Amino acid sequence: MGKFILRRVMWMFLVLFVVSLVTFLLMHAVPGGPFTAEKRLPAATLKQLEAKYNLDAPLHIQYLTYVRDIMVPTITSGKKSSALDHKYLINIPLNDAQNRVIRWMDFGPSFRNINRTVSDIFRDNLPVSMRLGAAALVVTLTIGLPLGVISGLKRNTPIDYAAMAVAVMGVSVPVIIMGPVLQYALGVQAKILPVSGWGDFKHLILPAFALGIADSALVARLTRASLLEVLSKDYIRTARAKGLAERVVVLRHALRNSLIPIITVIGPMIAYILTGTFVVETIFGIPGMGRFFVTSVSGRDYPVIMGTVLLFAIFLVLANTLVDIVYIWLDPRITYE
Amino acid sequence: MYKVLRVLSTLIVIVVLAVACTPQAAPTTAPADTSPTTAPAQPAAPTTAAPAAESPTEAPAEAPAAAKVISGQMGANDPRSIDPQRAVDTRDWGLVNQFFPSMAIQSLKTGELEPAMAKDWKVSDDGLTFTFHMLEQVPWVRYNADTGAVEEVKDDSGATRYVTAKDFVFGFMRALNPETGSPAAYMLAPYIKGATEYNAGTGKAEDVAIRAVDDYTFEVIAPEKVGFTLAIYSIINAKATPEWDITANADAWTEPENINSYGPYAMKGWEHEATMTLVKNPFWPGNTGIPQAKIDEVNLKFIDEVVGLRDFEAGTLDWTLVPGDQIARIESDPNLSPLLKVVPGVCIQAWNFNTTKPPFDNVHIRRAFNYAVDRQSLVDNVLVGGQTAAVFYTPPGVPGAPSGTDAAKQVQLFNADKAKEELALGLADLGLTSVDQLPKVTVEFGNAAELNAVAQTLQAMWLETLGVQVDLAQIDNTVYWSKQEEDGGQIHRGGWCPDYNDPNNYLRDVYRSDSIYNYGKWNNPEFDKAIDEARVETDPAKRLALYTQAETLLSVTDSATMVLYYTGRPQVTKPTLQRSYSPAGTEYFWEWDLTE
Repeated sequence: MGKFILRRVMWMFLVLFVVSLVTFLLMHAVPGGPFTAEKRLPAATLKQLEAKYNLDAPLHIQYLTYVRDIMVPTITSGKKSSALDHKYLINIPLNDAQNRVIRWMDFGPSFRNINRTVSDIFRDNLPVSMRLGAAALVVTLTIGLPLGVISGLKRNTPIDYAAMAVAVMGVSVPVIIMGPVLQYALGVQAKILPVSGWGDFKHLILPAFALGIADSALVARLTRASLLEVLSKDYIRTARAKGLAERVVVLRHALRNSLIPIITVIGPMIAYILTGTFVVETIFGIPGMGRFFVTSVSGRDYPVIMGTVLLFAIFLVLANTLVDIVYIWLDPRITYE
Repeated sequence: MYKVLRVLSTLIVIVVLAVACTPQAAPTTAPADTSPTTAPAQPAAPTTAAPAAESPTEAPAEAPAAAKVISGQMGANDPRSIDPQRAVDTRDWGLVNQFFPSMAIQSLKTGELEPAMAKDWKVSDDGLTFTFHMLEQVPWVRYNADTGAVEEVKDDSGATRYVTAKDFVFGFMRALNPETGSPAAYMLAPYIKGATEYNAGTGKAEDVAIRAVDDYTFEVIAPEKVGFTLAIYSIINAKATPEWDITANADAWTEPENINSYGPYAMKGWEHEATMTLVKNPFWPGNTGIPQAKIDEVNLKFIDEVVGLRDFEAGTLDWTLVPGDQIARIESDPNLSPLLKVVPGVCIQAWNFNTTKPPFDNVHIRRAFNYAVDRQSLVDNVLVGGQTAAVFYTPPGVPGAPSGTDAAKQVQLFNADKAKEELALGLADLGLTSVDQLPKVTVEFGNAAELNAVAQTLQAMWLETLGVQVDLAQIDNTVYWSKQEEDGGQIHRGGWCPDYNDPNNYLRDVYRSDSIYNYGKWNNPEFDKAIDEARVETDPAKRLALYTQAETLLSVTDSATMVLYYTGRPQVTKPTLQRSYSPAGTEYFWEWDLTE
């Protein structure tokens, strides 16, 4: 197991290297730069800005500098510096006489949010998205799994049809409709929940529900299909033949085995949902990460593009590793030796 | 059974833990501690809270019940910056004004420049030397999260730091310094002697004609006499900024735990991408242009107008912009309609011809396309978002603009018969017999719903009146802008939002033959001559006549561009909020008040 995880970590670095290089080349290949604007800047101003952000250096130097700034830790000493604290993602004060601080991972400045850095964005906005995403995941699982199990067990009964009708509706109503409808009904009309904003638990309810409901429909349908397939397997017939109670057959044998495809889907879903969603965050005015995936690309905000892509890659690799570990747990036949 | 339950319960526990453990990242109402976890909540300059708290001018913090607090919508996403010398957008400008008043500010009532940081000013007889006598003993302030009050900033010796002419010299020089990369430097530089060379890196800092005569006298020398120099000296980057703060905190100096400011409002909190909270600065003495604030706290939410309107209807916002497509519904709603106000905007929407590309190198063809566009119908039937049909490029609200005059009213841009006549003339010029022989025409524009609606309407109008079928090309904004710089399309989306309030900014800065914004490469020496003369003309009547001539050349005679409409700013405000309306959207919160 330890070897497996070590191998995965090494793979992750390779993946990150390839992803970062491809992203770097692609974003520089797209027409327009970070200072291309509707009101164009005079050539002299543009040159000054490019010099300020090292954009006038050759591409390979820019890339190597970027990688170095992230990878190589430094130790600073002297007066406390707010600027450096913002620049680096990890700042560990040593609390010694020279006021030394170990600093690591400088993801660069944001060109769009002029006084912020990518580290700031990770620090301030990622936790918001993770909190919202986790809440949405709870909604997804608590609605999706039971709904799928019930309709799978009561196949072709009115309960099954009703559950699947709900699921189809959940899949078909996009969040861009679901969000405003929830806002209008519970926020504007009933006035029991805030329309937008962030901070308290009450701010979490509507967006988590809007975000979680569509995926819960997916999970419900998947659970149903998977459960039906497993229920027709030989070992279920064996279990029944040896006189096990139906409850035991379903919970211990059928459900556990039917979870494998569901876990496979949930892995990437976790990565998507925890790193933020543009639409939900915009509709509900939530200061999460999601917007940066979109605005950084449209604004050619190079360091933020790199940062968001790398962040997503890390989440995806970690989520998939987690899924692989859960597989072992679910199915004893699976090993990674 | 156990294992299944264990997997399920572990999953749920992980998820629940994640929800519970993630730090509460963005409380909407900024609490006392707004500093990020890793940043020390150290003030930039050593400050002693006690004297400030005892100061007689301190706002009474003990009466929270009487505090006037308002909340409003401020556009989606974080402001790009509130650093005066690095900020870009109109929205940034509006926020910068709250913290860092210029010497003068334009009155929303009269359009005249009124004293803000200056007591008064003197212009030398040759119109070149501007001497500003500043308000004295206006302290730099910061919000102290521990005491919950705004306090004066002290220097290392414990003395209060006052805003001096030196701070303005620092601010102006920082705007012009090429290393700052101030995006608005090019607006300021041409109006200060020696500044263009310094900003371009060819001149020296000592040669820039800005100086502090004494602590409270600030002097600038302009290279030439023009009518709007004072307006330039009040633009976004022409502010005092705190050198000690910027030295200590670099780019992070505008964070709430670091920022020092002096305007009518100080910054209480800034939750990035969510909210900014302004708190009244009791130390701002007030002046004609910027009186003391009446409202104690202004909460700004960074949401778009769609969400803003929903929040407003839920009762949680005091004001918001509204989406254009909601105006009809609001007008028919007896509760909402009295709260609606459509403020005429300062931006012009105009689509240019590239006068170097066939068939639009022919003036008759340009006129034909121009005359075929029914602006009134576009505004009334398609856009319905508070826009006004345009005749001339400069909106009528700009002082000295001819758009509201009788001359402008006589111009009828839409005329189907004239359009057909001009088309026939154009075809004859080109030796063609039918419109089908015209070169293929492609209309290029950026990615926005409004532009798409305009493009489709124009396409239909040209087909109906001229029988010409044009192609539409909607392109990713950044790609469009970069393409436009090199090679503007045959017909491409133009338009302008001003940097300062003068026709010179709309006409000379955009359409002079050598302007970098003249994407249609239009060149008419007569136009250049008229705007060059108008720029330095001091007699308002002569100036108006010159601009009327220039506008007529631009949009009628030469039809270099099709002026379409002036933007509007439709917004709703709670009846308890007494407010002014800024055409540009840079709201003057210090003028606002709450009534019972």
